[in-house]
Amino acid sequence: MTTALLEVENLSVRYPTARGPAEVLDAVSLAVGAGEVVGLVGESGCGKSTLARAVLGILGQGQASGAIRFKGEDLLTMAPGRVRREIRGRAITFVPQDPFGSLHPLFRVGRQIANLLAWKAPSTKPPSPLAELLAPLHRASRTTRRAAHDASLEALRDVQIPNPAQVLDKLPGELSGGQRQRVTIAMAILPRPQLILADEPTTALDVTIQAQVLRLLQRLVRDRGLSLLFTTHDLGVASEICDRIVVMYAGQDVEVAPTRAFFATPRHPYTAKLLRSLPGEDKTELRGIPGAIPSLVRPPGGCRFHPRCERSTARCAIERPPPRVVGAGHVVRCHHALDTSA
Amino acid sequence: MLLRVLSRLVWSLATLLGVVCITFVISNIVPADPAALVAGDTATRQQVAEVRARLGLDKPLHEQLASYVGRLAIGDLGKSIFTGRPVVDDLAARLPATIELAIAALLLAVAIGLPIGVVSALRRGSLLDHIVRVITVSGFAIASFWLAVMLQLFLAMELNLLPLSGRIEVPAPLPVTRFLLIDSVLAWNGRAFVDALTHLALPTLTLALPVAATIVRFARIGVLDAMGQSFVPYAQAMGLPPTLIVSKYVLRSAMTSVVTQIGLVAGTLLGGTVVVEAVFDWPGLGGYTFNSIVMSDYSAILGATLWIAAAYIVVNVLVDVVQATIDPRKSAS
Amino acid sequence: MDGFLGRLARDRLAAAGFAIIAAFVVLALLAPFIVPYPDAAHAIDPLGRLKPPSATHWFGTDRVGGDVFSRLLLGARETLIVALVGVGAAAAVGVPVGLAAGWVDGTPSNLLMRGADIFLAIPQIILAIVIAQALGPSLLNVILALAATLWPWFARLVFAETRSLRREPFVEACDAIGASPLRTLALHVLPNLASPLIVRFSLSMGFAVLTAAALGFLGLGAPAPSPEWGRTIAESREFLPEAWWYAAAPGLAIFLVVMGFNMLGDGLRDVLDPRARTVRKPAQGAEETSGGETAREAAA
Repeated sequence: MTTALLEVENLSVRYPTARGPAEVLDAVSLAVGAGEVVGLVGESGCGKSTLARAVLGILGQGQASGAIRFKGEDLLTMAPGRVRREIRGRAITFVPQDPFGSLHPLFRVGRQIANLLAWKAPSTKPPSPLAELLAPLHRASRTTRRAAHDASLEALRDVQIPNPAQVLDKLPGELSGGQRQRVTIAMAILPRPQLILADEPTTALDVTIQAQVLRLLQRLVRDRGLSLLFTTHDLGVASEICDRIVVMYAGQDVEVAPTRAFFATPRHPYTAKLLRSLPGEDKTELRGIPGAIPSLVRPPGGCRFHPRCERSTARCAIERPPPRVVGAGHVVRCHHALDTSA
Repeated sequence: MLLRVLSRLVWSLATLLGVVCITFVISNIVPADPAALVAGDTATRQQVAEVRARLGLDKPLHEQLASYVGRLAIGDLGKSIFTGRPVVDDLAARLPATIELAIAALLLAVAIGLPIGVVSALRRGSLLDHIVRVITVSGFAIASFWLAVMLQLFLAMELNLLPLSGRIEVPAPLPVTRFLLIDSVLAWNGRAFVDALTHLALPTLTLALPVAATIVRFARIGVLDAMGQSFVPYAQAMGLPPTLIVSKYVLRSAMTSVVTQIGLVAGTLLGGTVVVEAVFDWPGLGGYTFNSIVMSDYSAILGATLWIAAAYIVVNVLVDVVQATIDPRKSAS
Repeated sequence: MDGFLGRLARDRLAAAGFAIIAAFVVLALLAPFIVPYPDAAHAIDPLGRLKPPSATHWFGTDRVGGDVFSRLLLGARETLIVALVGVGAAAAVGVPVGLAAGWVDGTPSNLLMRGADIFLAIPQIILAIVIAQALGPSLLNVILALAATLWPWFARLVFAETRSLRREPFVEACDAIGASPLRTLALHVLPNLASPLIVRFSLSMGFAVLTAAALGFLGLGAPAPSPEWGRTIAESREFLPEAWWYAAAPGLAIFLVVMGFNMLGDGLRDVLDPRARTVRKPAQGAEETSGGETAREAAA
């Protein structure tokens, strides 16, 4: 068992809202090892994006407690400036959900990649705080620009964009959705990170393109020995490339399992319901999960799924279930976990 | 791009023609009779009639308009009824003063307005932001002629810091560009430079403040808009320096809205010069326009209005071009 | 309407603006009856000239000895009438033009809007000056000048909305069932325009007050002894800096009233159409924020 590259330990995040503080994440723990692909699965609003943001340190108004250890160092206690200069865009990069909005509409693709390379190129050291402050005055030398151009071309080729030279000259609006996402993936691998965080990277894409992008991610991870943590609400997507899957519900982590075990023997009632609600050949009806996602301002106590769970007892409302190992790499947090597959 | 500019120019010409017609028609509803005014108080009816014939004012309106447009085409704006000189010459003589004033005011307004608007947006909701917003709203409610009078009152009369009116008091330097500031530098005349500068100060301030308020408002909106777009969180997620994010990415987006307004602002400036020049006795186009209106000097009124309208149109075309440069999406369509 | 007034009251900006304007209207209408010196408009008191503010004369006296405060109130009346009628006339012309241009297609529509563009091509204050001067100094002519200057704004606003509504399915449906254009316009298009029109009206009032004052200042408004605010400021100039109250009071009055209309307009916009708060991209037509139009207003 390799030491985990990323260890999230009892992470809680609280956001101020008009109706009071919302407990968006409640003591979530997970780990990502070197070279692993971990999928973070859950419905909209379950906190998966917040978790990604917490790792990157861009929570904005949110307050985080707990620990996020990256290669042993706790990112939450690190100085924000250091996180920005050394971690973000270097050791940990990001692939956004919406490549259209995320790339600046008025700058050409080549320029945006060059801007990134100016500050995050793997051959350079992280800048000093002063250099960062004076960033607007920075002018790259000709050799640096040439090198950046070559590196950009290569990266675009790596993400299988045909005609990379042409694409560099285009505005984001002139590219297709799939191409834009490939560009952001290229930008995510250029700094040679150890971990890529992808926030629903395929949600905004057509189904046909989704598969291609997933294959691409898988190949990149394998070839470069990267780790990938990506969030999605689509179990199908998760099943394609993940080594392990983590399920979240309403800000709590409820189950984590290797992919095969996840689909074969889910242990948490919520996971089981999720799998049952997937449409398949032998199912003639759509089965949803009765009830609604709870408010995070006044969340249910204990296990937050208990109001919708037919196996819940009084204990579930009071005591959050501790993690329990039920198989190899398979951990569930439930007082009344399923013993066999449904 | 070229096609776009050309088509705009054609439409502008058509608009300008319309302006000519309207101003012509309006000026001719005048009850006052310029022929009588020129001929003088003691003139007989006969003499007035002669003057009228001489000035071509006895022909029917549409004929007058037609001949005017004809002469316009060859660049002849007619003679000023009162100075006797060709209107074009009068306008050309007065133009540099107004341009100097307008440019100074625009520069000052941008220099004040842009940073304040940007900072106000970045510190949204703070005390500074609220103060700025209150000040800009007030800025739109102050009558500029009143502002001019008040500034004169405090800075010129009470505190004696700046001269009351006029453009220059010490002997003027040799007219090369006719921009006093530049000319005095060229002539290495320090006294003239300082004198011109102090005379420029109050009119510039009066003209600049309402414009600055507009710029603050639109810079603020532009930045807020830009901050709300997803490229900001993405750039942050990738760890780009915050100063870079603001100065390059946010500002570029915000510029679009500010630049659009510069066209609008030019209109304010050009119009504002009339009042400001009247109050400060500034020898420019605005004052000339006003005087000729008061004197019912047709050709002068028409000529001046035409020039001002043309300037406004030209500025708008330029703004269009600049916008297309900043936001290539527009020209790509 | 109850909900609307409630929302209006809660929006502090609009409420403050409303309060100011309400006070202004009341004072203006009641002016002849409540002024401390009813014949201030015509009084001549050579001994009492140019007295500073005191208990008997709150804002001092002017060059002929008239009470500045009383003249201010009487001037409010003129200002209100001029602005109201001027803007009303502009709307009466601009709205039908906009409706017509928006409804039909092709050359007539283009001509109408070109006409509006031509009026807008001349900076507003200059147009107003040309018109007011051509017609002679009087209150009526200031009103006409205002109407001629402001109608294109109404026309443009109505044109843009009508044009976009024209393509809406529900309007096409009206066409399909044979409803007359007038009926469709009146029943379906106009109600959609009510909110932006009200906002525009309020903001135009502010502009009208400023322009009317500017015209008065330049001597193009009602002649002496009119208590019009702009005119008063012009009169006061030769007595500065000693008689500072003479110039300051009317200017402050103008400031308050215009602020009131702007705040009311902005607040109304927030209440009636929160979407309109952001700047519409230029490609879509007329810019609609109050900053945009008030930039032109500030030409006075």
